[in-house]
Amino acid sequence: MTDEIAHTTYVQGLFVKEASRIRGFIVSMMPGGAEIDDLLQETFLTISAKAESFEKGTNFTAWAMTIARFKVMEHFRKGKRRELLLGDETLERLLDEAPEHLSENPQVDALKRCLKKLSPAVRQMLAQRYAEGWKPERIASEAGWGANSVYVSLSRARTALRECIQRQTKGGTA
Amino acid sequence: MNLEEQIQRYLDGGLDEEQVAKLSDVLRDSSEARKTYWELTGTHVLLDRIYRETSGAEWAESASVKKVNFRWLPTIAAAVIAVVVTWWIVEWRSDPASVIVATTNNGSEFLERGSLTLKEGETKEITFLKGTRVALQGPLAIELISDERMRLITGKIGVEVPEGAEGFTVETPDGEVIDYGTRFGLEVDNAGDLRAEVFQGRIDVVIGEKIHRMEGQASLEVSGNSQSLTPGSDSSSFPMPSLKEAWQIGGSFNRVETFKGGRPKLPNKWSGDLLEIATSFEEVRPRSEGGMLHFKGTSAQEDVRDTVASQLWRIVDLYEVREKMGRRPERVNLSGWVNRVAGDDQTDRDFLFGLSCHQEITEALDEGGDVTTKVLTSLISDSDPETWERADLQLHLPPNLRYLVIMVGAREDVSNNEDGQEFDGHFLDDLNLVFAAGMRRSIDYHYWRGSAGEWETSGKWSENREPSAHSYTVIQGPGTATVSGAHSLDSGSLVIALDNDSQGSVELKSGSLLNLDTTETLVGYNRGAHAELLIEGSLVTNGRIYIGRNNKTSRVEVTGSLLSSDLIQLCQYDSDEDTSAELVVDGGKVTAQSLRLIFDQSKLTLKEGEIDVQELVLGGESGQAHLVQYGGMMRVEKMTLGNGTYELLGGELWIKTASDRFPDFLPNALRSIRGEWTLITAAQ
Repeated sequence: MTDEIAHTTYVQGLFVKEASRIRGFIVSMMPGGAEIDDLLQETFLTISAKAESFEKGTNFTAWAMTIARFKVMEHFRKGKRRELLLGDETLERLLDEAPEHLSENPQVDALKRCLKKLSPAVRQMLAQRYAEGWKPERIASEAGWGANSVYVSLSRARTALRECIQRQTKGGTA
Repeated sequence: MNLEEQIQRYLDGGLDEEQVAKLSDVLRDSSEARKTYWELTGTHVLLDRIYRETSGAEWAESASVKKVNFRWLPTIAAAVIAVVVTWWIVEWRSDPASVIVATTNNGSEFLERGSLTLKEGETKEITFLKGTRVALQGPLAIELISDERMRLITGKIGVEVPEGAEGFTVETPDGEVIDYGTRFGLEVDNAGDLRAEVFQGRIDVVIGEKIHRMEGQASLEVSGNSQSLTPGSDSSSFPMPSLKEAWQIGGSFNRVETFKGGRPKLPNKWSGDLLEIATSFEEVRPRSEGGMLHFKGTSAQEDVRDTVASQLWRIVDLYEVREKMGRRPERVNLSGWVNRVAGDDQTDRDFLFGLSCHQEITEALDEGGDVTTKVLTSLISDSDPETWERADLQLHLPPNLRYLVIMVGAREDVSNNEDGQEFDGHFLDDLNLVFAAGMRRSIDYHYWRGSAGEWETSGKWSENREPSAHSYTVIQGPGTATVSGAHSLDSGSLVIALDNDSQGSVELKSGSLLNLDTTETLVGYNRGAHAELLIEGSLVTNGRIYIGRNNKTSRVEVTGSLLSSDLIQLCQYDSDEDTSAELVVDGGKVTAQSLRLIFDQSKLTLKEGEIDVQELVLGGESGQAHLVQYGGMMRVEKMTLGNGTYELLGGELWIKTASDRFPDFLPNALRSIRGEWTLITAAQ
């Protein structure tokens, strides 16, 4: 194995280790969600192609996130939907101030417990939104609702879940 | 749309170009807004993660889940573990629109639009997503319409609308009630008549064309066409949502003050090791305006521990807190912010926060004292003097607790410094103590009436039902309520003979058991009432028992067993009335945490059997309480003697006391001792 291939393999290894986190940042900056897997893949390909420009010992996540941000911006530009994404400067500032961990294991466990408290109908809606990446308009038309009530329901479900997670994780340390 | 709604909608792709541009500008210019953004996206990212990672089936059990695609990321070098991406298709079954509008108070349930009913005795407290809290007490029927609107069909509710949720509306059969930030109660009875009472703030009651503006404290009754508005209101006749009382003690430490004096002996005062208020110290600045607390020294002996702390204490009298809140505080939260100078490896960074429960304030407040519950947490401060770290500590308070002691401290590893103790710069600011009380039910009564009968005969009780979950369960009438078999009562209070000149008696047959899950049991209540309780079986309670209040006669006779994990007191008050309160133990056993005879009217007779109490208080400052023992065993861990008389004519008195001074008191206090008796103390 040449050094170059070894380095690329090393960088790809870092990506795989951090994939969940990088995905989290992609999810957190763009609207919708259907294209996330594609974007993660494209980010991976770009990182593989540019592996030689990554210096060992420097901050990999920051580097990967910058690439991911450009991928997201490029994706929206190509689809002529650039105006539906937050501005460049805004995204940059947001990512600069991003929390180190977006999803930690205790929160994941708490979320699973909290989800059980939701009604089946709301859980189904979340599954369509997150597992299938359906747009709220599609969820609405399949269910025979107005799109607005899907937006409201999604937002309230997340608010209720967020408060539930806070209580659960706080209660654990009491 | 507020910022939060805009962000949520953005994440779902629901904003148009103009709205995105507007949100983008706000997020670009405000770091507060960006903070909110990251708070909100957290749940979004978590949802994405778990729906992608795990089978999904465990929480989507009612949705039918099929795994349809399993894809490997292409072009990954062979040495690299592939990222596995799974898709889950959930078949959609069209359900009626379900929108969460509220949660129950403990967060255990999400409530959707729709109707909700409670049976008699049931209670529930709900929090609407906009923050309005509503206490519900059965029997009741309501409908949740949105996060700012509900309908009261029948029943009683208590509502608290916080700032920012004004406009909360309750629809009633004939109109609606609109809130402008307040606490109020509403009742719709079976006939559809409305009673509205406002306790604080302002509500508008709209009935047809008419708008009643109710402010401060006012009551409105609407029955058919008649509507009467009167000043004054009574919150005790409505359930009310639980209370949170922020109580800033010490707070932001603004006053220039030096604390010392060691562990405190009196409530409501800070006391501790050497501490000072500082306005700044090296790079450390107070977290909020004014000053911050600077830990400077310790009084702990170096040879006692390797690690010593500079500590600050405060005793909180929970009776005062209870008075202030109007309810028993059930939970407490202590929070504070800590910081330290930059320092190096030698600079300690450990802080302590503690809460402990005490029934009495002993001199030392030591762990070994009468601490019943204690929680302690430590917090490591980072080395950045510009940031403050927060500590939080929660504790459930036992019922009838007297004192809570707060401790905050900075820890120092003395062994790292040859000069001994060093406090390089440890700081505390914005210390807050918040008490919370549970939901309060409205006061309701359930009566036993009439002639003699068995406890379980439902026809003997009001509404032909055995009592449960009432504020007061009252037994009165010429006949005795007889308990045979095992029964439990979950009620605020059990009162035997409540009304003026009433009489009431309860008899527990041999082999019976009555388990009282009540705050207190009162044998006799108002003027002229005669009350009697005969215990051949067993009576067990986790609450207090008062034998006599300001009624005529109260008598409890025990030949079976009487057990209270709390207090048994003869006479609740020093009444001017010609009253008598008597406890006779003639075989069997009485066990309690504390037994008190403080007033003249109290008399306790031990003929046979055993009384086993942690604490016996005999005689108050002026009373002449009387205790006569003919036989049996009196076993007391600790005895407090006032102006009472202990007439020991036979049997045994066993006192375990650690106090050396006790024997000096003995001759005066036990001045009527005569006949054959044995006094055993632990010293012997």
